[in-house]
Amino acid sequence: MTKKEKVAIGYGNDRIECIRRAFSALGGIGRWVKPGHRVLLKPNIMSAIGTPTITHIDMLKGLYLLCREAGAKEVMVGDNPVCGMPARKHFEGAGYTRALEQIGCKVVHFDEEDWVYRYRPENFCLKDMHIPKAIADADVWITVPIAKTHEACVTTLGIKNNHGILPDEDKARHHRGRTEAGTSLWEKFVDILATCKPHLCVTDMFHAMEGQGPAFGKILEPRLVVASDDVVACDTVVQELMGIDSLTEAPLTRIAHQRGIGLADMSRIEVLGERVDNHRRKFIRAKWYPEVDTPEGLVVLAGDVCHGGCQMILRYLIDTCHIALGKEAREFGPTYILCGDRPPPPPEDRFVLVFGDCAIYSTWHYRYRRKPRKIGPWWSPRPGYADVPGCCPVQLGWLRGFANLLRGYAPLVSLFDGLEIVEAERYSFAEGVPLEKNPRRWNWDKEWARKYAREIAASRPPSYIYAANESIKGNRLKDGVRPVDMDVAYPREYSRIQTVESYSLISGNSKD
Amino acid sequence: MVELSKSEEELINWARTQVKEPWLGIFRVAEKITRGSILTPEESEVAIPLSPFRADYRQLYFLFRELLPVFVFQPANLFIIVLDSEGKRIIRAYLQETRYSNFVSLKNIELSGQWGEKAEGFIAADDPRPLRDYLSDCFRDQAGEINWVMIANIRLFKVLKEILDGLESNGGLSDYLVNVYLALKKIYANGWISFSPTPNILARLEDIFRKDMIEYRSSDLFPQSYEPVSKSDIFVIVLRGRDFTVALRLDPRDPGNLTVDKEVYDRLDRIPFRKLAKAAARKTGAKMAIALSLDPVVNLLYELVSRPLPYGSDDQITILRKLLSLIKNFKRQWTICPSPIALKNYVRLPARLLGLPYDITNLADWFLPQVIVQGSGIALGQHFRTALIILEGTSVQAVIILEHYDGGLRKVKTFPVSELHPLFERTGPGYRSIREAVIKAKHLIWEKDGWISFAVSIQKNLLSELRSLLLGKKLTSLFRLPFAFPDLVRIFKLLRKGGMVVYPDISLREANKWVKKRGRFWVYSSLIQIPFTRKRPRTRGLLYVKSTIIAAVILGVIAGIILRLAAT
Repeated sequence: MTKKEKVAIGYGNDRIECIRRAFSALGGIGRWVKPGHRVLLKPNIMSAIGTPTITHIDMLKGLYLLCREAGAKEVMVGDNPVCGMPARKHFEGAGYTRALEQIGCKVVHFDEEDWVYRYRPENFCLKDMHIPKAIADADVWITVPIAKTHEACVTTLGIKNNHGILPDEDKARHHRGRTEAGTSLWEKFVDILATCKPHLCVTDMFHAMEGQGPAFGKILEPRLVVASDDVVACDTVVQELMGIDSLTEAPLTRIAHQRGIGLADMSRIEVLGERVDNHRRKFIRAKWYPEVDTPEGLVVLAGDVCHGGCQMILRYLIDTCHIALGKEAREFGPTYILCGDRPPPPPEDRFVLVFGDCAIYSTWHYRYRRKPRKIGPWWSPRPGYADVPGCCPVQLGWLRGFANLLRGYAPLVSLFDGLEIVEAERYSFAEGVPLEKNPRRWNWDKEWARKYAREIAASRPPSYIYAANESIKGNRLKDGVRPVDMDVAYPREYSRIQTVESYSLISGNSKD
Repeated sequence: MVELSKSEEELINWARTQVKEPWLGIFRVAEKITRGSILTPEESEVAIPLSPFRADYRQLYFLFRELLPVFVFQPANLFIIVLDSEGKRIIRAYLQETRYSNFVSLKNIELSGQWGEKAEGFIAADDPRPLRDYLSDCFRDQAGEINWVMIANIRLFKVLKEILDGLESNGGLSDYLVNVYLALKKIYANGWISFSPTPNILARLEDIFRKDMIEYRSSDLFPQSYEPVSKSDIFVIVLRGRDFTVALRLDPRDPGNLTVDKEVYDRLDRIPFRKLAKAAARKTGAKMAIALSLDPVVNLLYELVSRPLPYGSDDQITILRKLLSLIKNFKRQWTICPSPIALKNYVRLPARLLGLPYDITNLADWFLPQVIVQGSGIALGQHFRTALIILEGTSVQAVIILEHYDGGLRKVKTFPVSELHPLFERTGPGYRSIREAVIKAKHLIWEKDGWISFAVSIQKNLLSELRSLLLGKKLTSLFRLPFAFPDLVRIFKLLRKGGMVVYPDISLREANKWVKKRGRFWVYSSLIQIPFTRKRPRTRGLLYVKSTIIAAVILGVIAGIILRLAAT
């Protein structure tokens, strides 16, 4: 077979040196960036702390220098990293804003700029979306991810980095990951790639993360930069260096390859610069299921839980709070977290955290809810249980619920109470987005939810969450099938699956 | 004897008089102490070779007995080989014989015979294990098993001579430390010393110098160097071992002299541990005395020197656990005089009633290390560089860059002060102008030396104020506490005027906003519960009734006293 895509690997003592080596192997950045071009760099600035959680600023500086040497008129850096958090805070918290402005880059906070609507009916679930006007106007846009493992997607690289070009409203859509319901977290990321493909992908692998990525893993120092004009091929080579098979293990590259958006077959990729064999290392994968390998002090009782929703967010909770939970367990006993549809009942009726809408309404009749709401001494009572509503509880809403549960007893976690969060009612990971169009009234209409709670609990979880054809619903836990092993529906089969509650201006499928 | 060049001959003669003879003298006196003989007045005090320190012989003996196995090795037979300048020929050889961990003799070994050629072959092949076995076979009848082999290049002695010359030219303690650092750097860069097997302390020095963990250039610091020790205060450290007590006196006016009067020293031996620090402070007239039990200290030091540098997160957790366990055992494993007010019972118990239940003996040493290590990884990142800029007004005194990797300190380096001087020279007074200068300094260092994640500037006078407050007596007694308020006001004023500036500071500002919104007392009372283990409250029974009645009685008594005083 003829080699189709070229991917270059640069190795060196600093990132700028690595970038130069990678691009000299590719024939120079001038193949893409022409004089007078406006270039946009899209890094991963998901938090205010440094590598390996976020793209290092030297990557941006190195690309800026190359683009300027190629004659680019303007080089911009933009991102909209985390749903509900202002992008400006991330850039300033990392100290990037002033530094980039000083070298001559313009910093664009996507959430403060205009958006352009894009529609692509061939997409699996996210058929329409908004992209930043800065990207639409740029002549060349370059995605600059950092190599990390990921709890829900195995790795977060170029394909996943594209998620940061969407506004929060579009980010919240199709995040739950129910393929049988016509919604899939992985398909969504590939939909974004199909709709708005970057011209170049330059992956920062100088520092990489293994273990509990994307935020709580361990640092490694491979000292590499991987670059290509095919995002999928670039991700494939990075995954190869991480010891991950792109066609069987990593869902995003597999789906993109199957759809024909890029190449994930190593035999058809020409690697320039360094040899993969010299730098390959088996990265520790992120733990996936919240009920497995839970730390001391925490007992997770999971029912049928959405892998891109409550499962992923619960994993974040565990990774953030596991240190505090160990102390609480030793002093006061374990905390039970119920999540998903019809979870097993907790063995004790105290210190129960009920996570997500499915868990709240399917456990309405459980015994713990009949116990007193407050337990403990009068000067510092503690709730016996706390609900964390949302589908799924967004961002740090879970911390607020957790803090409520542990108030007075767990000062370490209850300190998070004051963090700014996006209310769960406003941004739901269901397909419906704004408040008025959200058919899941229980999220925002508490009176309605209270009134009909028993009916909702007595019946199956609301049938309108799932596809009309219940026979294809499946039960991940019952069959023991892991999402990563599920077959992906090909585009020609998409029409068979009715997407319910999809928010679409064209199809007018919203239900009020 | 092997033919030596003139310079090599001079170095050998110097080493004989300045290194070998003083150490032999120490070993002979140690032998006397082991036998229980009484030392003469001339033998009671010793100057430690190649250092500015003088100590009591007896104290040094006990300290060496406990610390030598941790840092170096259990005293055993040592074979010393001295190579020529090129590192190929053996020019001198010695055998130090030890029996039951006590020094017996130091013999010169003749270089005639085949053993020298074969040993040179092993040295050239850089193969320490066969060399040791071979020497054991050759000299078994003289001394038994050869446990340790030291190979030194003669140029090592030149470097040691430079250290001694620096001492004799009346340099201060900081100059001595700089000379030692430069000497070690040279020795390890050229591989002029090796031990087989490598003792802990040398392995750590190898880690530091071979991995370039410290990069220091004297030209990077401003001419007026920072002196960390106050000129007027004496400190005493008392170490209580299984069968001895050692007291070290630190007097900034005479930093080399660690001795304590023999009379005082003998009396300290008989004092129970709980009262040791107070007795030491009173008898020596020291401003502050700290008494430590030696066993946990040795345990902690062993952890520090036996783990490779830089420490990984697991190493840090273990070390912190041991340190916190030591701190937790207040009055059992350490005491201090004067003791800070926070540790006094008459302050701690009312604070507990007010909802601030701190008790150092309940320190959560099983939990805090993980919070510190993993929490700092989450809060600060796993790879970050911090620039510490020490200012005196608008003049930059020092710039130190710390590089952290995987939670451990990977590198400490200095940055030329002259590069940043122009940025701060033109700053006006006030927090904002200093902050702007710090941001520019951060970007300048990025340009020249690599990205800086955090830039922190500290004024030297703020550090002096904090040092005098913490090491003074104002925080040791309720009656002296009001005298500390003007110091605190001064410190807060300095902070507001830019005494300490951190950039990026958005997280700190957000945290400060939130703390104000929640209420400072609530936040601090919540924070104070974190480091201490709390008991599990029962949720049934009369416990809460009992606690309520006790609280009501105490409050009633206090109210009654106040009313009575008001009435009279």
